[in-house]
Amino acid sequence: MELSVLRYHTLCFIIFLFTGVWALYEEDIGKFDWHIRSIGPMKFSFFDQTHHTNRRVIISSELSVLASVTLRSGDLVWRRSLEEYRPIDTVLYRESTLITVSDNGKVVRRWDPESGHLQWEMSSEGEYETNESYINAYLNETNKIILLTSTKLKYYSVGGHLLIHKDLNMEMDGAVAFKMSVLKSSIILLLYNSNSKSVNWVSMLNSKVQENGIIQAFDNFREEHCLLVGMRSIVCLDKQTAKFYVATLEQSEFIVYTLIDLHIGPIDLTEESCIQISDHFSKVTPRFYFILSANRQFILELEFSDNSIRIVQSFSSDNSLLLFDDILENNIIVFSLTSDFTNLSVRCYDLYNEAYIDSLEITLAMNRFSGSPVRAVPYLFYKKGQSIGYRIIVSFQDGSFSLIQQTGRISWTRDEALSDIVSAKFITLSTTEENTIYSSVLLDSATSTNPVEGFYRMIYSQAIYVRDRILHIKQIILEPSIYNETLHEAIQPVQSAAIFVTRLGKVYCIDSKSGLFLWNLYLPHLTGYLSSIYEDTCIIKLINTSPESALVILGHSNSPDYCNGTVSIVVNPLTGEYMPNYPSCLSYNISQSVQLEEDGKVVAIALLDSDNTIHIFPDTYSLQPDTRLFMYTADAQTGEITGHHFSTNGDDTFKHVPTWSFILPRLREELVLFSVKNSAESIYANARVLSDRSVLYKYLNPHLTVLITESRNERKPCVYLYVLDGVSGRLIHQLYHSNARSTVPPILAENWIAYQIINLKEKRQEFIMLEMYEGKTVNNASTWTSFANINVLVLSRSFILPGDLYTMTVTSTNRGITPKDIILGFGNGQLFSLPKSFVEPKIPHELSKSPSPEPAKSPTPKIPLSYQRVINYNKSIDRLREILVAPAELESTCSVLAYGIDIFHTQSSPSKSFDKLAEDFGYTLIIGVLAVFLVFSLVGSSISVYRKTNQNWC
Amino acid sequence: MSKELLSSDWRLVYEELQVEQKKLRKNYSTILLLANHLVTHNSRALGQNVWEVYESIVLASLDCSDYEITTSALSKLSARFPKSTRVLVLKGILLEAKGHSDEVLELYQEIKRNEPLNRECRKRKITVHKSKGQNKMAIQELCEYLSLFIGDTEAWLELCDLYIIELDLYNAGFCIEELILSNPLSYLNHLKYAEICYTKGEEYWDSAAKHYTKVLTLKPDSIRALFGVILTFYAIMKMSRQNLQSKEKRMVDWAKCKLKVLYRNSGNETGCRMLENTIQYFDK
Repeated sequence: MELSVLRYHTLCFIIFLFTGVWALYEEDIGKFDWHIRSIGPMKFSFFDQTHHTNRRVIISSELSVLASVTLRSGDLVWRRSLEEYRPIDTVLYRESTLITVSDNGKVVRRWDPESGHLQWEMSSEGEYETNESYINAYLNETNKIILLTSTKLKYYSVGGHLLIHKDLNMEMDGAVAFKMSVLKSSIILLLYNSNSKSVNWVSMLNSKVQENGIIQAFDNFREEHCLLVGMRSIVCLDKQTAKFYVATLEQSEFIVYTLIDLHIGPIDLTEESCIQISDHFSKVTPRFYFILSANRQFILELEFSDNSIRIVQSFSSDNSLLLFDDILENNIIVFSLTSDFTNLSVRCYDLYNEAYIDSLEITLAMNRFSGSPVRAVPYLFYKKGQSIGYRIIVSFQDGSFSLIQQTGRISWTRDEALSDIVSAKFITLSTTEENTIYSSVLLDSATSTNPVEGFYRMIYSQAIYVRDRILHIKQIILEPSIYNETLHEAIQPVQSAAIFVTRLGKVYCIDSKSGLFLWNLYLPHLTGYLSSIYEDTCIIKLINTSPESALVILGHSNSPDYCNGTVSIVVNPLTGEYMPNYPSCLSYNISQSVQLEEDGKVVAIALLDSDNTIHIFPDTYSLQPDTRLFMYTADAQTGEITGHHFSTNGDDTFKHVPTWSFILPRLREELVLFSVKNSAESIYANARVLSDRSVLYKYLNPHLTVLITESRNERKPCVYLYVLDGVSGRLIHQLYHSNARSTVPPILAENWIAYQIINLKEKRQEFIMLEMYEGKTVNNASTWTSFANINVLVLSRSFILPGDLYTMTVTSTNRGITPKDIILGFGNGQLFSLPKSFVEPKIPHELSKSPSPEPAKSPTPKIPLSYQRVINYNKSIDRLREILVAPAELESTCSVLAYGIDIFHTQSSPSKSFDKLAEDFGYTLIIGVLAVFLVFSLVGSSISVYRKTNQNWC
Repeated sequence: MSKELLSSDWRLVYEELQVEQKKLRKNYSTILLLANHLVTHNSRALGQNVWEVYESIVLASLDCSDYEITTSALSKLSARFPKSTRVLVLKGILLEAKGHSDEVLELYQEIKRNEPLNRECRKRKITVHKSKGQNKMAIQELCEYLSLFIGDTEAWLELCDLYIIELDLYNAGFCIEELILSNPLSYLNHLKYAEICYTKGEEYWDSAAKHYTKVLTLKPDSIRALFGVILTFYAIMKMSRQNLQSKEKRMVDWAKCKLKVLYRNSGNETGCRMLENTIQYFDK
């Protein structure tokens, strides 16, 4: 008995020992950072039916990303980002088997649809010719993957074995495969022999050739406009003559049908015209789609008896029209989706009964402008009463895709345009008028030199903020109707927002503190400027016009009909509403831009067009009488960097004087990378104190430019680096690395340049730091001139970089007091924050007379990248492209935004948060203690006065 | 002036009162006016400082012989500080003013018994004795006082003066010696001591001469010291019957020259003539 009690107590004791143990700083996760994970515009989609409770949709995007999202909410379950240079050809899915075929059929992978794990991978790299192209792949009922490329036919088992490998090129005498049709185990291949202008067909059963034959091709025969209908007929469309050519496999020649025979024409075919066949059609009926134009489409049927074509149903709409189908047992239902941008309507056509099903027709309102639907994937199912139900995933031109329920409701929408960002920029927003005052006072307090005055202004601004908050809360209580979703904007006094321009023409404004979407715009005609060195960029500028500031986005137009030149978008940065009185199209192409400032605020942009003429944007801005502009343009093709000088002639026109040019040896070198110094950077110390107490002055040229060129000789890869002054064109420094390549844009900050090279000899990446000094005397003490002749002392040191560097940047803070960190973005999606002091060059002994050498923080040649320096912990960024940095309100912190497919924002504190109270700071305790002290001092002082008087008198 | 001031902020009035009280020549009627105004209008704002204002009212009203105000202010003070010696002393001063010297002495004796270290009361008692012409009593009290408060230089000076009145020059010299020890750089003490020494007689003329010259080193244009030098050295010369070329003679001549220069520089012609006559008188 006693023993059992003892056991019971021991058990209780042991249970008490198990307490929750949490990882360090778990409460900090997501507190200062946000992470947006995207998939990309939808290309393939499947409804995953294996989970009855937790249904999912498998999606493959145009960015070679495979992902699974929940059917209920569209949340990401798993995501696999495949190689960008190996686009996904197709995705096959059947009953928990998920196969991707990538890179023109070279790589076949099987994935677990539940977890997204890779099950196997078959790669046939090296054995294919380069002109190999992917044709078709099937996953048939016997669970075999049949993969056809232009010259090869392969059978894979779902277990990952290559069963059969047929080289069609050898067997078929130079013919190239272009079509395949599969029905259970039998397949039919179509091959085209360009020499004999004939179409060869092969019928196979279990990869054994059963029959074959040759049909003579017609004149304008094009492989891509042919279909194999019903396993026995070939239908081709000749777009030039607008004729159909039909042949059964037994025949040797095509029979011609004109559109007039079909009672459609006479009509000219457009670019969009084509014929398509659905996988579902080929099994049941000899029918196919004929797309005449974007809003007129047909379903045609082939009569096997006489090879005649008849129209089954014609679909037409005033707006964009999309046809797609699904099969449920033997019912093939063709959906027609029409959209006039505000309403989507779905009609269902029963192909078996050749009639519309009116009960399934829905119309739903779109609450946003997304362009026309691009793709749609339906899923048919039986509802409880054996009636047919369906769900459709529709993807739109702006990259978003939505799930539409049969109830006429959009369940969810995923906005995927952010996966491909062209340009991004931080801007500062001030929401209300009071907050503008607040921010300006705060700014004044930051810039005022008198600390007492600064403190007073700080307190004053806080008082204004508190007053506004009280007023705001009062307003909410008195008039709750005004209180709406924009509360968030009102609460945050100074907002820093990030503007993103995506490749699909969508512009987003995201609050950089919380990651909330403030507004977005869809501009189908906007793309980035094609810069020859970097990928596309747009000009994003916030200009301070009265009464409110305007956000200007300038980009290239992708449609000459809409705008031949530059698309300009001017919106209110707070709401995203268009500002009136601004042109939407500029007739010139921009080659360079400079912002014009007044009192430290950007008021206009000077744009240089390709004819070296200056345009001022907005054109209502009146120039200062003596405006002088220095610009330079770089042409990667000719390798010429030209400096320009513009001065006003008293009126509003500019006089153009080419001032300098720097020509790279074009045959030897190719401009690959360049970086420009941010001239608005705030610098705290203009000198460095050495250990012998002497001072070494930094070379702080604000007009520096770094060019990195590579040798054109493939056998002798070389990296050349040039440091130029942008105003005078003076070559300040140059050096070269043999056996190297460079892929990451260099960093220019203060007096140093950091760049990366790939050392091809040692097969590693190297990080090189150059520091520029004026010497022991200061030359440009009061004013800076680029024309002063300064001998720049350059110190350098290189380090081994243990990782695959994709991009890098440097932190910047409000006043530049905080030491700088270099943020390195690696290929695995990690961001490392590396203190600059770790990679400083050694000061040579001649400069410092100190007996002991200058202390170096990093004695090893390898950069110490400990994993504690990863600022995005496990939130990695796939296909990292760029890191943006902007100073935050506090001196110690700066906002870091990195984007690739994903977007990640965090706050980096290079010197820890020295001007911030700790998170667990006891506000109540300190206020309580202060109050007690105050009361005690008041009471004590009165008591002491009383006692003193008594002492004096008694 | 006072009307404008009185209508302004009480702080200014209070400030003016303090300035007035610090003056050497106090205008007691102004003080009384200001203090009365403060007490009637701003007694609350003054806080604990109000009692000092009442005290100034007491002293000023006594000076103006307005005993009604004195008694009312004293009643306020004694109500607030019933056991206060300071108030008792003020009452004593009132009695003094009224001429009840015997009662006052009894009162002061009472206070002295209870609080032997009360300086105010002891000093008042000495003044009462002095005013009654009881110099011996005053000297006795003062000696008693100084045995307790040896650092009170003003008391030493007062004692010295009392001794001089009683022609007790030896004790007066002792008092001045104490003062010289406490403040050796003050020429006034030296001057007084030199004069006492000169008066004491020929045995002390040497030290008188020393102290006159010390005065002249501390304050070279001291007329009184220059005359003292002339008198002392003539006296010494007369006593020792030395010839006219001695160093004493040179000292006298130097003092005469210096005096003449000083008188001439002052521009006072009658003064110069009188000096000439005086010097001629000395020479005879």
